Amino acid sequence: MQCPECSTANPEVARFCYRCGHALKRADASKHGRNNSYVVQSSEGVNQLALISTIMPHTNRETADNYRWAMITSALLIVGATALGILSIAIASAAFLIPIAYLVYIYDVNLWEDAPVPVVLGLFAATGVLATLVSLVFFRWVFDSEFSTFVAGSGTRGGFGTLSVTALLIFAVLLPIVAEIVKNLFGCLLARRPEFDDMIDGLTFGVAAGTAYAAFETIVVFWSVFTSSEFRTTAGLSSWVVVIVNLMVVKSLIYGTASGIAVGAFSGKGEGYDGFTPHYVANFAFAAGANVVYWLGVRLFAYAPFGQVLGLLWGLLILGILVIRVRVSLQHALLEAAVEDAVRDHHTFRETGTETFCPECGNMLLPGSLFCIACGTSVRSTSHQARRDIRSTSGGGAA
Amino acid sequence: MSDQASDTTAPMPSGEGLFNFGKQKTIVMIVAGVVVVGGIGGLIGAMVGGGDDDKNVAAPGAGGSGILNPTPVGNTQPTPLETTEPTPQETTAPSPPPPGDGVTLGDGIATIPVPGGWNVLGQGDVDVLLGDDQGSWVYAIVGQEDPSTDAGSLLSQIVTDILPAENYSQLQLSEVSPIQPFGSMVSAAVVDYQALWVDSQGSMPLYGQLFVGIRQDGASLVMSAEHNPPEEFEASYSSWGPVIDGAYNAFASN
Ligand SMILES: [Zn+2]
Ligand SMILES: [Zn+2]
Repeated sequence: MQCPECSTANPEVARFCYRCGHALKRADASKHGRNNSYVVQSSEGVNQLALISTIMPHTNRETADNYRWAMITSALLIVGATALGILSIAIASAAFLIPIAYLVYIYDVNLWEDAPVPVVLGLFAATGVLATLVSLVFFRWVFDSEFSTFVAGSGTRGGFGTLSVTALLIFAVLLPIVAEIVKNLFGCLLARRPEFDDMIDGLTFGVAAGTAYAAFETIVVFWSVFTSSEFRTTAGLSSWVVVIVNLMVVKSLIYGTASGIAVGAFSGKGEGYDGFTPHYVANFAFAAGANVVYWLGVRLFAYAPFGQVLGLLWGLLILGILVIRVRVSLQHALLEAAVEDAVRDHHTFRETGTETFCPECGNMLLPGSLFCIACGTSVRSTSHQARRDIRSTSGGGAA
Repeated sequence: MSDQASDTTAPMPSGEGLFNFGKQKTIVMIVAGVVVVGGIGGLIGAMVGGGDDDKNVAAPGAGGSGILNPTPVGNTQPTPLETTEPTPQETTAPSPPPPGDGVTLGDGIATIPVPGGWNVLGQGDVDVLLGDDQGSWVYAIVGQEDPSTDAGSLLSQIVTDILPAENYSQLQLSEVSPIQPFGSMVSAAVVDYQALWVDSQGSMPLYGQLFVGIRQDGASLVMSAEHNPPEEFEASYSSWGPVIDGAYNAFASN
């Protein structure tokens, strides 16, 4: 059967073109065709609010479950520490939950085969140092009195009338933009390297840098929890639970996914990084804009009754939009790059070298595959070990 | 849900081969990592903070700031405001601004002075928020009560409105202390507090005093002065003291 999209000859049983991922069976295409089944994890739809397969595209359905359970267990422990009022434990672990899970993920899928420890820790540490500096400048050293206008006026005191527009612009517009630059900096540096120039790599660097930034910023802005004379707090814990859930899940993942979108655009689709193109600028603006909109909402809701909870819900809404955006971008990038490669008969080191099995569904992958013919999952989204096995006996190097 | 569309019957590759960690190891590593980081946080909290129970809120007055000290402020040290504007009826404006600027609240119930270095951060019909860019801020709100209301009990009622638990965590309050009223005030009280202010964007420890004065016509003036960092609250009195004193002197002279 010849693929109508790229003219590659496929086996008769193929549901998806092994080179470009196009849906070959009319029945497939109409029911849950290529436009709906996510190339990273074909059992999910593109527009499905699934977190793990979005930020951890190299997992398969089975391993994604491990991360899900690890994070749920950790989150319950953290909420437990909050309920006990031990805020220093809760803040520290909430700040680093997603970064820790992400570090384990990166090591698990062996994303950086050559020098994993220096590269991974370097990205986290360098972004963390800059995040700490930026947070100190904004919250302590330069704009501390502007921040204290939020302290002075929020809640039931004064209402919106007491909102300082200057402070709002500094902390909900200027800071998110500066922070986005910091989050992009080291991710983009790494994405320039030829071995990490795939869009999935860029996305991963962006998410890693974004969550690292969130963690260190959280430690700086909540430092007073560590210096507090009360080791155990007994009052106002319901409000702390909301704040901690916000830090642990919403802020961390908004920072991560937004930067993932921006750095992914820096990588661009296919091989080679795109760099500072209008496409990158647009996606950087989208990422910074998402952070601005998130913080504007949090700041404005703080003047309303149940402001913290409203801020949390607002963050979840923004996060949902970001998750969908990541999935749609990745879907298009993987499919478009594959079609281009297939049409040009270009071979990449990311395709399979020998007959092997799909990590997602267990069916056979043909030599030279970029997609599974049975489930349509992208080979680029498999773990690097799988990829190494896949091409271990191969001759499928770059043409 | 796996689609056995082709004739391959190969076993599903296990996570062991394709990933560095198995199921248990992934979960254990992440949870252990989170617990370790939490433990480090707890250790820092116990070493840097915790334990210093001597930082508790002192009783008002014991701090030595002496705001609204009944005898000196009301009688022996009349502010310029009292001398320039003894009664409101004589002018069209109920409360003309004191030397410098002032903010009039609630149709002239009170006028809050804005000394040099202070800014109006926000203003409504009955309330105003001032800040000095040095970590001090003053909030004032006026209302109407029954003239027989006791300032102390009013203070106990409104404390959670002015210091909502949603933001004022770890709130420690001193005993509510009555203040000898002066001028047209019939009842006054103060409470000291220390809190860790928190919201999703940050946190800030602070120390403050909350004042209530009720006038013979039932008008009430509630003011809070807060400062960050808390240790410097007393030292910051020279900045916010004149705002509080000036406002209550004007309030009591109406
Ligand atoms: Zn094709
Ligand atoms: Zn498959």
